[in-house]
Amino acid sequence: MIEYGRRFGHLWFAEQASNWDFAQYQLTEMREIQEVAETTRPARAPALKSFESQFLDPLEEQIKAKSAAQFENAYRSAVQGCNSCHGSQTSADWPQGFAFIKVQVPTKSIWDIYKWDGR
Amino acid sequence: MNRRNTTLGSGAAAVLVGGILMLASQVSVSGAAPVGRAQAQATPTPLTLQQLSDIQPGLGTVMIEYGHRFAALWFAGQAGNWDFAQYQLTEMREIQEVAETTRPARAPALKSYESQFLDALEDQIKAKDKDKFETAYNSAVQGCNSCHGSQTSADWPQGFKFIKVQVPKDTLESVYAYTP
Repeated sequence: MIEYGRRFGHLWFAEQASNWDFAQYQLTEMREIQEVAETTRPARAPALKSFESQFLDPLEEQIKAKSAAQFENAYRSAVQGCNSCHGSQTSADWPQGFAFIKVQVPTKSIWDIYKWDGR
Repeated sequence: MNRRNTTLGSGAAAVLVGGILMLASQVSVSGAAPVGRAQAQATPTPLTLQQLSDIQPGLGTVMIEYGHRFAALWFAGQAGNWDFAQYQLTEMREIQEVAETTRPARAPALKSYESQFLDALEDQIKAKDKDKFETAYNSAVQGCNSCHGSQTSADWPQGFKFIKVQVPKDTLESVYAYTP
């Protein structure tokens, strides 16, 4: 998820700069790194695959269309998708889920993607 | 990858199983890739145990994640998001286990750091005591720098004291103090 979040942050800034190839690259790499987690943590695979089809596919469509406004809508939806997924996933250590890991549209740096207060 | 200080022990075997699984996945994933999606030539499988051992992350790679999480720990604590702080700390304990396996000569120092500094941080996270958490964090920063200075290698017989960390200011990356 460190790489996933990093690339998701880059994805925003690449689009803001209209560097669509870089945006596509980040998105493709997100797909690839999530495959690693689908293998090493197979119980998480359905959630990851669901996120990919629900949110990465629409983002890719807007990257290909080079539509900034619709990309930004898709990105905001993906942010909500991230947070929803964090809240729904649980583990032995975190039976209440991971809702405390909140992300947002980054503002100045890729790591602004974290919303530290979790609210 | 630098093979110095590596030992193939039982812990490494566990890592290797993960590596084998990943490679198996790569084969099937490559087959399912959409037409037109450029695929780099995959490494032929099966790889040898030595090759699988060689591609496991060393301490330097582990420290990238360790530093990232250590900085995130600060901001989570500052925001009073204690669950997030606990999560980062737990992940720090987990990622250091990788380096304890792939670089066993570093394990005593890593374990010592964990018991001296991470345990103390966890106590304050559980207590949700921001002041004492900050004190423990400052101690942990000193612990990082002290450890960097005391560890040596063939390439760095003088130690790694040039890797200096600090309480981050405004970004995760500001955990690095670039000025010697």
